[in-house]
This record gives sequence, structure tokens and C-alpha cells, in this order.
Amino acid sequence: MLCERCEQRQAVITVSKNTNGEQEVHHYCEKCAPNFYPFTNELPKEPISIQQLLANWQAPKNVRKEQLRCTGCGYTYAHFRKTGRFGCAKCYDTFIDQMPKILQPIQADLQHVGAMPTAVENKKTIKKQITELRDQMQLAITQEAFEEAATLRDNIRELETRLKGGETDGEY
Amino acid sequence: MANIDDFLQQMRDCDIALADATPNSVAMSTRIRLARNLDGYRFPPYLTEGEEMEVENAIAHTLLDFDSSLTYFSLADIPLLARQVLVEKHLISPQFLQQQQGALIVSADEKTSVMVNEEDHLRIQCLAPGLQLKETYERAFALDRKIEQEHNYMYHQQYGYLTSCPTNLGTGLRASVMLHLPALTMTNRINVIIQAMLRLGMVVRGIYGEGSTSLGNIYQISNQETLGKSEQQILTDLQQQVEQIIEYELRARKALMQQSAVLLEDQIQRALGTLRYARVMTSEEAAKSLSSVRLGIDLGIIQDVPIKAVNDCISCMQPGFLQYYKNETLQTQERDIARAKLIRDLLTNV
Repeated sequence: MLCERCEQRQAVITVSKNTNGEQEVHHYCEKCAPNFYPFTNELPKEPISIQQLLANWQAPKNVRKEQLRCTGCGYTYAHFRKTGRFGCAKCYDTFIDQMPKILQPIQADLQHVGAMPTAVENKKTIKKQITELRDQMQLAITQEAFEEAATLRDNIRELETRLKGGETDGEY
Repeated sequence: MANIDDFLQQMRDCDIALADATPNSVAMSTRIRLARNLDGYRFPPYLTEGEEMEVENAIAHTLLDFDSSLTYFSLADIPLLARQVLVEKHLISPQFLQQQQGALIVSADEKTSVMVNEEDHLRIQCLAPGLQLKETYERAFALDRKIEQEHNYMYHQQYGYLTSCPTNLGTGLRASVMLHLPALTMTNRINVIIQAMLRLGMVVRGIYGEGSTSLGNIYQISNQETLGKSEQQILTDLQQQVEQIIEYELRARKALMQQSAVLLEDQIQRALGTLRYARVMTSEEAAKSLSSVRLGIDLGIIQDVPIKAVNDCISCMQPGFLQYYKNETLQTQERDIARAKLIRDLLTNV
């Protein structure tokens, strides 16, 4: 094989370089090799500004973030940045790491308060009831009122069954 | 299926947003909007044609069953000029006007309207004259609960109701009040108030919504934040801010009357003269003069013009209205002539 640069002498040095997961292989002769990576730093010919340098430095991390893809709709974070719109409900979980940065400047807080669908509301009420009944049951046990504790336990079980039934009905 | 032309003729005289407003009301109208999406579908711009129809049919079915005063229109059946009128009536958004797909479900009194497959699957809107935030919200909420009984909404434990754009996340609630603020504008205090509103998480826009200037001294104040505050909190905050602004406006009017009553009266009567006798009028001039006359009526300076006539002029002088009800496309100058005539008629035949 001939040297890539002079195309005259026999290539005796093989250089493999890994850039962002892409493998690059070069073949040079003894004379030409010192002009290239890793024997010399390959810098762009034009003078480089500090901004450019920093931009290149951060590039790989940003590229990863921008290319993050939602499995629900197939759209990327870069697409969101361009349009300001998400593709589907799942995007909010896919890009959850980015959400604080998006929401903090425009919203009052990162946690929803206020109205919710009736099914979610009912479930919350049931959970609250269960907690209250458990407390009552513990109290009954310490007071050795075992019959009352047993009734309370049955009530809790019933509520737990209702809660489970609700979960399979709607994906909230 | 109902015809949009018949419907708009029927609507002609009941522009609820403005017509019912009572004198001395700085607050012209209240608007509540809820953004909702159906679970199991992508957001509207990314739906297939089949899915779009599924969403449309599902919502139309529920709403028409629930409220017999509602009528369904496919966007494809609404001609461009009629769409323009709907934008001017604030029943659809300028963005919706340009879409190929979507539907509008609306009541003839315009108090209720639902845009289907705009930016979100559902944009529920309720309108009322004057300042009625809580009552109007209750109406929108009732409609929302009705839909929810039959369809699952997208809902997230942390982010609440999910929306296509994160600016509407959480409650999905945008509450707006339209305010007529001539005295604050004349005394140059409006800019300070706008700045203060922005700091308090409110958005101030002109009458024609996003990006429009405050033509005719009419401003729309609405909440910016939709996530992290409850509906009640959002409405209470807005109510407080709006009441404060109304108070400032009334004080500014009083001060103007005390300091320069003659100049003010001169400006108001000249405006009425212009409106009654001009033969060519741009929308800017009309808006400005109508604002002065409205102020004149509020202050008791003008007594022979009912506020309804002025409010009618404010809606009907817009380009879409003018052309739609004249039933022809008009060039700018033709529009200015038609506008002058329409306003003359409305203000003299009272």
C-alpha cells in the first residue's frame, strides 16, 4: 500500500483514530507520518477563536442530548428545540432531565397543583383513606381491641382491591 | 351539516364579547381557555389523517350530545373569509385559520367554543362580557368534566395535564380579561403597568392577541404561568391585578377630568364628529376614535350614543367582518370607505 499523502513511498505506519464513535484509519510512510495525528496536533489552519474552541469542546455532550429520541413518537430533543412542541405524552418522560431547564423560566413551579381527572382524584382519596384506617388499626391493636382491628383490616383490604382495579382501568 | 354562512349571519348581532358590556366597565370581556389532550394519541400536528378524524369524532360526539346549543364545523368546510371573521371574533386562533385539518364546535351566542386539533386536541373556550373570571371558569370546567367522563385525558403525576407546548402544561388554563384603558394610555402610565404585570407573571397583549399592538387602547391581560399554581390561585391573582388596573384607570380618568376637562371633551367630541362624518377611515383611526367615544360615554360626556353601538363598531370595523358581510373582497382603500360608511350607519341610526 502507498502512503496516503505522498502516494509514492510504501506506507509503513497505520494510525487509527476514534472520533465520536467513528473509526478513522490512515496509512502513511515514515517521512509523511510526523505531519499527522498523533505525532502532530492537527489544528485548523485558520486562527481559532476561544468561542469556537469552547463550542467544539461541548459539542459531543450537546450532540448526545439533541439526538435523544422519544420512543413514543420518534421525535428528538433537537426537534423540540426547533418547534417548541413535543410529539406525545411520553416525550415528557423521555426528556425529563431537560424539563427543569425548559420549565423554570416560564412556570411557577415544577409540580402540578390543582384540578386532576376524577379517576386520579378518586385514587388519591382512597390512598388517604387507607393511611387513616391503618393508623386507626394500629391504635386498635395497641388497645387490644382485636375485633375492631380485624374489621379495619378488612376495610383496608377492600379499599386496596378497589385501588388495584382502578390501576388497570386507566394509565395515569 | 350546518352551514357556516348561515351560522355567521345568525351570529351577526350577538357578539357577546363586546355587545353586552355595560357602561363604566373598563373590563370589556372575560375569556377562559383550557388545553386538553386525549390519552393514547400523539399531539395534533403529528396525528395521521385517520387519527385526526378519530379525535374529532370522539369529541364532537360527546359535546353535541351534552349541549344542544353547540354546532360542529369541519375546518375544511369554512372558507377563508369566514375563518377571518372567526379570528376577529376570537373564536379561533390565527394559527388555526391556516390549518388544513381540525374542527370548531361553537354555540351561536359565542359563549362556548371548542377548537379541535389546533395545537392540542382540545381548546375549550368560554367567553363572558365584563369581568367574570370565576363564573366563566366554572362553565369551562363543567364542559371539561363532561368530556372527561367519556375520554381519558393525558395526565402526568408531576406535570398535570400534558400539552403539546410546555407553556400550557399543568392546569392548561389561560384566563384573560380584555380591558379598555384610554386614560392610562393618554397619561403614558400604561407602559409602567405593562412592565409591572410582566414581573408578576402576567401577559399583556393588544386586542388582536399575540404580537398585535394595542389598537384602540384595548389590552388583554392573561396569566402566563399554568404549572405550579392551582386554578383558583391563577384566577384570584388575575382578578386582583385586573381590579388594581381598573382602579388605576378610573383614577386616571378622574384626574384627566379635573385637570383638562375641556381638552378631553374636545378630543372626545371631535372623535365622534370624525366617526359620524368621515368618508374614508383606516382601522387605526377608527380604533382610536371609537376608544375616545367609548370613554366619552363612560364619562357621561356623550349621552346620545349607546355603548352597544360603539362596541358593535369595534368588532365590525375589522377587515374580515367588513368584507364578509359586504360579501366581496375589498382592497385597502375600498375597505376604508366601507368602514367609514358602516360606522356612520351604526352611529347615526341609533
